[in-house]
Amino acid sequence: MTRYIIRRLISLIPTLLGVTVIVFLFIHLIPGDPAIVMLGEHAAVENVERIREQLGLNKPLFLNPAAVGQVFSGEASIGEGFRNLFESQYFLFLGRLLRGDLGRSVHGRTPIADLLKLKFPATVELSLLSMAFAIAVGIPAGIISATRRNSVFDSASMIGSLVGVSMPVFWLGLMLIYFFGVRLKWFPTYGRFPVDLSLQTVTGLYTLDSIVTGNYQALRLALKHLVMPSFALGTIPMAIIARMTRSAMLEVLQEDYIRTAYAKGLQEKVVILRHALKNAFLPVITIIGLQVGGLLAGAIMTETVFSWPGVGKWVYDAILSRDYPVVQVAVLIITLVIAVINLAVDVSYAFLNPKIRFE
Amino acid sequence: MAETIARQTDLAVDFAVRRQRSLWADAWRRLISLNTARLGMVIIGVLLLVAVLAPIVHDYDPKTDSSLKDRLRPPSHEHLLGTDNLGRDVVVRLVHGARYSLGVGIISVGMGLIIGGTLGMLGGFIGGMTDNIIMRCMDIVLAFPAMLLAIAIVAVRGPGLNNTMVAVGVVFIPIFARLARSMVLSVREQEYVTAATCSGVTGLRILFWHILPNILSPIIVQSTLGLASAILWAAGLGFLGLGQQPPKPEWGAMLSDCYKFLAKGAWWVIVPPGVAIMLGVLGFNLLGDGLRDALDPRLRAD
Repeated sequence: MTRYIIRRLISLIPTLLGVTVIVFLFIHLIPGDPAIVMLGEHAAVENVERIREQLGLNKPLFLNPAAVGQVFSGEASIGEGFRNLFESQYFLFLGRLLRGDLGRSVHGRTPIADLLKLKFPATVELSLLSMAFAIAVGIPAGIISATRRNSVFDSASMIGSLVGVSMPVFWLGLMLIYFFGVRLKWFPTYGRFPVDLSLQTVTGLYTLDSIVTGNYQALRLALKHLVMPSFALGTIPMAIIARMTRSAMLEVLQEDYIRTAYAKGLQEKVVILRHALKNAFLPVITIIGLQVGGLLAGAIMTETVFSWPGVGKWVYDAILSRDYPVVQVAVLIITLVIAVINLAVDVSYAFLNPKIRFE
Repeated sequence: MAETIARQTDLAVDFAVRRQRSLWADAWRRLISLNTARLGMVIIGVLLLVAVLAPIVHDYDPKTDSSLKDRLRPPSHEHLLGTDNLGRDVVVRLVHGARYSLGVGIISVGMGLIIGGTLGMLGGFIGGMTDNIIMRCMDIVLAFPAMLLAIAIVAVRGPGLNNTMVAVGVVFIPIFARLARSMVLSVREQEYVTAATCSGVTGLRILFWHILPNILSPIIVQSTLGLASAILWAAGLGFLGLGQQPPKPEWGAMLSDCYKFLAKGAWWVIVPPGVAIMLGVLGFNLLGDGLRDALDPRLRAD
């Protein structure tokens, strides 16, 4: 098992290096001088120079061929030459990342790591609640559909899930805002928390913080803000989970051991929950893991619609204001998180399924 | 007993006299026997018809369409779905928007299919180092979440419909590459490929004449389902203001133009484009599921 995890971790490294290369090249694919594109045409010369300096734009891209010449002409020792060879934009970028230095945003010059600490919990909170909602509704719906196959409930939930996966997240968000925000005024239509209220932050997850500090008014408000965005974000995973649960359950319910379980007189509840569900869970877990990736990406749309101050809206705002270092880091972080989650899913899969573990 | 024999004879006769059907004709019969697939085909048919006929039946110039005195009128006899923030008829824009929204989907899936499919087929067929390099590159692209990658590409290349197509197309490249590769790997060792090799057919001719026709089914299914995602992603980019630029009426961009007016209660500028996107996506999803059942019984998802 440990060997399996280590092997998977090692296989992740080349992919992640590739991801850093693409994210790094990102700035160089912009037509025109990146420093001027970011700051606008009328930027002060010293600001442009500062950005060039910060991003190392005057250095070679990947390798510094001049270093080889230096060694041959005796200007530098082999050790120095080797070091100079990697005196390039990419390796400086990678080196900074590995040291945990994420750079500064172009506008405001705030350290990106500080911004990330501020934005990330908001997205985590939203994603967690969406996923909880998707699982809490999707799995029971799938189970009931499978056990009452071709019933009205089955047809309704399968049509519902088809419509659910076909609906644009941002449009669903707009519809929710219109009905429950503008018309019925049940829920606030934007933001995460009222501006005029303060909350002592411990984890950055407002719901958790308010429970920890015993601030129940804050909890109520935080939850009220969460309802619509997490419903919008959770709809697609919910639909996919429901479909997957249904088809996995249908397959398992045909097995002989289910018939045996019924034959020895077990209650339907026990057969379904203990015998069938346990065996149908593997594909469902995989699909849940895959949805987490989609969730983080879907957060860009949802957070934009609901002005939710998370990573997704941060990326979007950074794109609009051409703050490319922020875009780079945010894309990198999201991709990294997803890669790690996918790995965790694979590992848990192997943990749950002996067939894979012993291969 | 006699009954059983009679039924078996009936079956045998039926099998003998039944007209021979080709694989594709058989798949078609299975496809149209599925209610959901028929519904999908009807939806897509109507949308495509609208998209193709719109400019023929009615000439539309989005630049001269606005009429400020008719801003945000609710649905009436004159404007069946009301007017938007610049007094433009929502129905007219919806109809002409179909061209852009469906067009982006078709072109970007086509791009991903041709580039990704070719790369995957070559990788699977040649194997070795070439395969390794191609697939490692595909893994890297696949590591990015689809929507995020598309947004990043448009952010770099600048907003607009062409870059939207490129961005969505790039997202599809690794998807088709992996599919084509895995199919080629499974087909490569079949007897008919060996037979072709033995009879002197070489390299690319084997790949495109003997292997390609046999891996088409899953690729057709994936393309159809891909169209659904492509429409969704393109609309998403349009909504973020990174896709089709105003005043042209792409569905996502229509939502982007008007969603601010929702607070004023103007639901008619928001509901129709969203429903149109949903119908397009739903249609391709239904057809894709149906095709999967019809083309490859082994892949049948209950």
